[in-house]
Order: sequence, then C-alpha cells, then structure tokens
Amino acid sequence: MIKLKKLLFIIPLLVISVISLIPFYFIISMATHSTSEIYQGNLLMFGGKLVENIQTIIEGGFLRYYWNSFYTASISGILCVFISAMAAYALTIYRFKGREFLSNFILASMMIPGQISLIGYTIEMKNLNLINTHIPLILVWGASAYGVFFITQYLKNSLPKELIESARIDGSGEFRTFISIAMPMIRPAIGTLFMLVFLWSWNNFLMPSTVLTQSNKFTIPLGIQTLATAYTQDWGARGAALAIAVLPILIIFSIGSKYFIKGLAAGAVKG
Amino acid sequence: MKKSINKIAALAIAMTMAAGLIAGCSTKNSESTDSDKSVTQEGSNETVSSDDYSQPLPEDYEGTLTMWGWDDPYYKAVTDAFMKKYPNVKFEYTPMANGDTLQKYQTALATGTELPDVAWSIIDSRAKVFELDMWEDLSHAPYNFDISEVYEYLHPKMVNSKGQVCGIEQSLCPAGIAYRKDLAKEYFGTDDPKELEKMFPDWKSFIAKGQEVYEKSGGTIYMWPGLADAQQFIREQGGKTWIDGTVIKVTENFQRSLNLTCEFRDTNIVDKLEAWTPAWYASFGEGKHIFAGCATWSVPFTIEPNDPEGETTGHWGLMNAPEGNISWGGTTLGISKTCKDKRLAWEFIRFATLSTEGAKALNSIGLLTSAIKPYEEAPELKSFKSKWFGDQDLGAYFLDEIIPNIKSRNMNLDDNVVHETLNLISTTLNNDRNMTADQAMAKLKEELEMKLPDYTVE
Repeated sequence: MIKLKKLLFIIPLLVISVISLIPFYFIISMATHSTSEIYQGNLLMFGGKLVENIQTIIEGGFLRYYWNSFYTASISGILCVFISAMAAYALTIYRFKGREFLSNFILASMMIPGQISLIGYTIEMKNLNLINTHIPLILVWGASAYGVFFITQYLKNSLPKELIESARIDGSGEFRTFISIAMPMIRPAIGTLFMLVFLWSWNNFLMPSTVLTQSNKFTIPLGIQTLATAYTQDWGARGAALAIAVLPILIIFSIGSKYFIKGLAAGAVKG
Repeated sequence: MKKSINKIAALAIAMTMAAGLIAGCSTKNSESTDSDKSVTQEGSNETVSSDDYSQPLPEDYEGTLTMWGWDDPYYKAVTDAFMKKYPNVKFEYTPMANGDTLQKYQTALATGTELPDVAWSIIDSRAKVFELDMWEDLSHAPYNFDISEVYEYLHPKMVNSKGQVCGIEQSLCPAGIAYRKDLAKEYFGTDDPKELEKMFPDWKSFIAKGQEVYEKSGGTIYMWPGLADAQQFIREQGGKTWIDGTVIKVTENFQRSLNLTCEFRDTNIVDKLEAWTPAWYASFGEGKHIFAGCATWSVPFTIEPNDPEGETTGHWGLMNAPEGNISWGGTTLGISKTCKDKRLAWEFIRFATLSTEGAKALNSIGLLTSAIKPYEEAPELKSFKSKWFGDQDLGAYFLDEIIPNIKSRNMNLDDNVVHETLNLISTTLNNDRNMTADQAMAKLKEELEMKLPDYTVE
C-alpha cells in the first residue's frame, strides 16, 4: 500500500521531469545535426555533425563571446552582492533621517522596467565614453534595487542586532563588523543573489545589443544570434552554442543549489 | 575624533575614485580625439589628392570602414575582392540579425552612439529605415550616383519618400518559380521551361492542371508547399503601391490574390505548410511539391541545402511564373551621415555594387550584380549554374527571362504592417478551411483599421 502511494507520487514527478528535460535533450541533439537534418525533424537520434557545428561556432568567435559573458557575469554578480549587502546592512542596522523614504524609494524603483531606463543609461555610458566596453554591462548591477530588497529581507530576520552591538562593544569597526559578522550570517542570500545576477547577466540580450557594436566585445546571446545569414539560420551551430552556453548555469546551480533554495525560501517566506 | 577621521577618509576615497573615473574617461576622450584626428587627416589627405568622387582612389589609400551586416558570405566575397585592390583598407564587421536593423539604427540615433560607416538595409524594414535621418543622398554631390546605372525594377526600392537615394542594391533578387523536373515530366509530360510557361500562362490554368495532379496522384503531390507563400507571390505581382497617401488600397491590391488563395485551398492543389518552418524547408527535398517561388538567393539558401539528392540528379528547373515575376528580398548598401571616411565608403559601395570587379566577386557566390554595365563589359557574368538545376543557366534565365516580367511597386512606411496582416490572414485561411475570400477580405480590412487607424482602408 505504501509502495503504491509512493509510486503514485513518483510517477507524476517523473513525467514532469521528463517533460522538463526534453528541450535540453533536443538542444544537445540539435548540436549533432546539420540544419537540413534538423528540418527533416529527426531529433530523437543523435547525428554526426557535432564536430562541424563546434568548428562553426569556434570560427565564429564563440570562445571570445564565452569569455566575455563569463567574466562580465561573474564581476556583475560580485559587484551586485557587495553593494546590495552594504546598502541593505545600512538600511537594516542604522537609524538615520530619510531611511524609510530611501527604503520605499528603492522598493518603488523595482517597479520600473529596465527597458524604460535603457536609453537614458546608454546616453550616460556614451557620455562617459564607455560604449563598446563591458563596463556598462557590469555597472548596471551596481545599483540593483532587487538585490538591496532581497538582502534587506534576509538581514532583518537573520542578523540579531545584539550581535552587532556586541561586536561594537568589543571594539570592532563598522566595516569589519559588516565583513566579519554580517556577511557570514547571510551566506545563503549572498549565494542566491550571486547566482541570480550571474544568470540574468549571462542571458541578457537587450543591454549588450544596445551598448556593444563591435563583434569582439559580444556576449553569448549576441553571438548566437549572429549564426545566421540573410536567408538562413544555422540551427545546428546554434544548438551547439546553446548546449555549451547552458553548461556554466548548470554547474553553478549544481554547486550552489543548497544555498539557492535556502536563500529563496528565507527571502520569500520571512520578512 | 575617530568618527571624523573616518568621515574624512571616506570622503578622500570617494573623491579619489571619482577622479579615477573622470581621468579614465578623459584618457578615452583624448584617445578618441586622436583617432578622429587621424581619420580627419586621412580624409584631408585624400581630399587633397582626390576630391573628385568619380575618380578611383589611389591603390595605397589607407582607411577603415565599419559595417553591420547579416550575410557573412557576401561580406567576405566583396571585402576580400576590395582589399585585393586596396590592401591598406581595413573593415570592422559586426554581425547582426536582419530583423534588428530598424531597432539598432533607431537606438544608435536616439542615444547618439556610433552608426556603421556603411549601413545595410533589408527590404522588410527598408521603408522605415530609409526615413531615419542617417543617410547620405547618393544621387547628390559629391557622390552623383546615377540611378539608371542599375536595373529599373529596383529603382523604387532604393529611394525614400523624399526621393533621396539612400542605398544601392547589393544584388538582384528577381524571383520566378522553380519546379521539380521529374514531377513535371510525370504529370505534365514535359520538363522544358518554355513549354511549361505556355502551359501555365495564368493562375487559372495553374489551378486546372493542379486539380489533374491531385486526382492523378491520389492527393499525394501538390502544386505548391503552402498557402502563405503562394499568396505572397501572387500579391507581389500587382506592381501597384499598397498605400496611396492616407488610403490603403486593400480591395484593389488583394482581392484577387485572396480569391486565388481560396481557390488553391478549396481545390486541394496546395499543401498546408507554413512558410519558413522546418517542414517547409524540408519539403524541398521530399519530392511532393512541384513548384515553389524561387529568387536568386533561394538556390543556395533554400533548395541546395535541403535537397541533397538534387546535386546529382539535377532535378530542378526555373521558369517564369504565371502572370509575371516578382522582386523578392534584397539588401542595400548606403553611407551613414556619421561615416568617418565618406570618400572611402563611396569607393567601396561603388566597387561592390556597380563595378565589374565587384560583379565578379558576387558571381563567385552565385549572386548577380544589380548594375547593368558589368554585364556589358563582361557578358560571362550573366551566367551562373547550379548542379541542382542541371545544365540550365540560371543567371541568364533570371536576367533575360525573369527580370523583364517584373512589376515593381513603390515602398510605403507601413507596408510591413500590411504584409504581416496578410500573412496572418493566410494562416487563418489555412487553418479555417471554411473561411471564404470575402470573409478573409473583411477580416483583413478590420485588422488594418485597428492596426493603422490613421489610414482609410478601401
């Protein structure tokens, strides 16, 4: 009876898992076929064009796009976590004039879609002579309202103020208290935010397509889009590029999934 | 005391960071000014040496051109040929999707960021792209381009609403129809293009023969892969402008094509494939569809990659379409107003689109130059063949047979909205087999009135 109940529970989960994994299977299968083979529709079996497709994407500068994406996403994640944590710490621990207004302002700015501010941001970057560099892609994460909000929520529930008081009484400076006491206590939130920002930056298309016009500066989403001509798309090469592009996300999520789930649950439920 | 020291330290660090940022920017500023100067110097050098844009540049001329484009084989063929003549010229090429053209140019204009020196424009968005304040008028000084140098049917597609020539077509894109010779022989008793053209003078005869094919094959062989691409071909044959001032002439331009589309559907002579889908591409290798629209680019991009058997059997042919041919696709090359070396940009465009050397480079990738003179200077440029079409000289057929039967229409700003709505109607006709041509027309008008409220829909 218990086994039957378990089966009833497991079978739907298996079905859902298979449905979720099928697109990944097709992406990997696409990477092994030529475009015309893909059009024939036989994606269940792997083909023999993997090497050719990988050659195409490497010749198209994919390794450079990969590196560009990797380092901009990594620095974006670190920058966002660090600045968001500092801002959240200040908003949670300090009592100062305008704190409420500032909190509400940050919260309100989350409601504005990024696309609206894109033109203004691009003009700003142009005036700073930063167009066709990766700095605009990184800098934008330095002022993440979501990051501040997320860590503030976590800090409110995970950081006892008494601990901060004790550290101060023991003579710890503010920055040291922040780094040595507060940061370790919010590790799951830091890990989660880093992963989210990495993912968003990795997949970002709109911002790079606006501020980058030199192909050697392209990130992966822009690079994948260029695997086409006026009248055709190279779906095999695109499949190979997508399969490789997904790898870092899978690795990072596998490593940090414990923190990710913990961080999301804490940020979402408590508060 | 400690607090105030901390404050001072924080302020000092902040100021240092800001100074660093500003210093970084100013360094970049001075760099860009230097590079601007060097370009200006190059420009001024050539201005001294060759102010006359009609004369070729000296072969040791140095310069760099930026380009954003979506056709690597084309880019490589023409720039390689150009760099053989001008070895000191460099190109900075940025690949982009052709569907992004309008958005990319608009964003660059809105933000003041750099536009490419040589700007491409695909036919789909060209009417809107040509209205952007970014183009040099090539028909005026110093370029003085004479539009009669290129085939006449292309003229309306190279100018904006003010009559300014904003670009020159990279190549000719005439379209007739391709047919499977094996199927034509089996069902019509001939695979000769001339005899087939006599057999199909109009779409009515096409439908009548299609019904015979349907009955003879038991419904397994079709005349055309899909309704939408058939409808698109027929509506482009009209050659009349879709929008006249503030009036969209829907009935005049589309009633006939909708009637024929419904007849195609109701007589089962056309398959149900959606154009540009994997199944549609695959259909070129299946041998179930006798005819398909065929532009110059269809040969290397649509037919050859999707019909591996065709390379050895050569079972394709090219012929005039019933009731005339169309211009299908195309990309222009123009010079942006912000181009840093307009003299060099013009030299390149003239080479790529008007010269015999450029035409040879195009011929090597199976494309035909849009200029008339290269064919007079080197008649062999008229010829290109594909193994998929056996011995038929496709180049000569496109030039001598297809092009004279093309009626080209003027572009309008909102053509693409009409075009997309018509595609939507075609899809609806495909899915709803009971929808009549009149109902489709009513739906089309209703959609256009909603999408383009500033126009009168007739």
